[in-house]
Amino acid sequence: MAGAEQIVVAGAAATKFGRRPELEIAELGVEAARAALADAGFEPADVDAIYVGTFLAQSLNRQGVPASLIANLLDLGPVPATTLEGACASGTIALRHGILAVRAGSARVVLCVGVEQMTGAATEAVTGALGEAFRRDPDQEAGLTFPGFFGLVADAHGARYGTGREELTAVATKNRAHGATNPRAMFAEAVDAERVETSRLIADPLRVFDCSPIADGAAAAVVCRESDAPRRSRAIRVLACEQASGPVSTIDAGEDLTSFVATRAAAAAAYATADVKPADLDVVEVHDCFTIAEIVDCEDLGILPRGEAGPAIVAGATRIAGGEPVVNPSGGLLSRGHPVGATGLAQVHGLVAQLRDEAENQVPGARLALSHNLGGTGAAATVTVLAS
Amino acid sequence: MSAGPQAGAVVVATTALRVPLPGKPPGEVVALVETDAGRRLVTLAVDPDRRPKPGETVEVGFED
Repeated sequence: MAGAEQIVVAGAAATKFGRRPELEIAELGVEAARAALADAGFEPADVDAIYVGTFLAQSLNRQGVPASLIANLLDLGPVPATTLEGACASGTIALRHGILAVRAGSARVVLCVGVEQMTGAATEAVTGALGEAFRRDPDQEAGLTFPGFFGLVADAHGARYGTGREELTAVATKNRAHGATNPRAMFAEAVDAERVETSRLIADPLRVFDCSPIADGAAAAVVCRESDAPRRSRAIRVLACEQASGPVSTIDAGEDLTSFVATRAAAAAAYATADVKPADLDVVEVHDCFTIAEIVDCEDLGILPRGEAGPAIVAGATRIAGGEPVVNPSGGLLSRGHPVGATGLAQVHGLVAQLRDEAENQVPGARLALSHNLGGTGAAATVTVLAS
Repeated sequence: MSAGPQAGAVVVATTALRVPLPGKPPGEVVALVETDAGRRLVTLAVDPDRRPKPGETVEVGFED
């Protein structure tokens, strides 16, 4: 999406993620939206359109038209308000559509919000609602859960490349160490390998610390042309924001479950549009919904060689101290929590802070960043490239 | 899978769902298998700690 008229993220914000069941889903979205507008230097009256990404608003919160409700609560007036859903990639799909609206000239300033309210429901209800991202027959009928799906992925990756407990543990301990200093993380606490490896099995071989927690939270970004940004020195350039899709059912997943075509396709498009290579990246936020997902993500994004991501992570190749690039300095979904519709825009918020040189876990000299947001079984993926 | 014709299937991957789910006993083994008719998701009546490995052949039943 690089072009003559540069699109920028003028402002970004995220709420603290965690348990906030006392708030309505729209109230969470409003909190992040107000903070993002303030960060950008815009007023609600400046907003020409709002896009909201959420997956579970209707199934868990019984709240339809969340985009219109958030627009109401922000007093945006009768601007177009659109809700978008792409499972766990909903937030950055909203971002992408905001960018497209600005690029098309149909809006000057667009507010993009990702939000989810999950902890007010029983775990069984959340598990069932998340399962709607599987094809109904056979996956839902078979009782497959997302820990179960990624357990299959881990089993397949282990059989093909030897990925095992040591590699999964390395992802968990790295991300929890990174997240320990993130004030918005649900679990801002480091864990050691023994604690990871003795934690409760969820879906073999995945244990509790291999799984990102359900959470409540919201994140938002304001996009516009660079010339329209009130605080141009703080605006972050969007070099690409690409989206692709893939199989909804496990039985249609190719490549023996060790790779996601949607990630590869979105990444290829993003690298081409931004005219950058994986080796150029300084800092990356990937969709570590489960530890094995980070390993697959790094391979699909071309950050680490196919089949070698696990050992590379064990060796410290993606840690804040010495990583090139650093992966998930925020602590990722494993630390931050995973309010699914909010996750992608929280990644973007973290990277905006990195590129402004003001992140808690600052990567020294970070100038080029990438976020990767995955939905469902790889049914949707977005890859966004940002630059200072 | 319910009773029906038995056929050999090659395991792509397995997992055991350790968290109780409605209508599902904890420890149920779910497998993605490759059959002559394509890929299938099946449950296997095996010890979750002795799950077949990817590439192994198992017998699974199919509904008529």
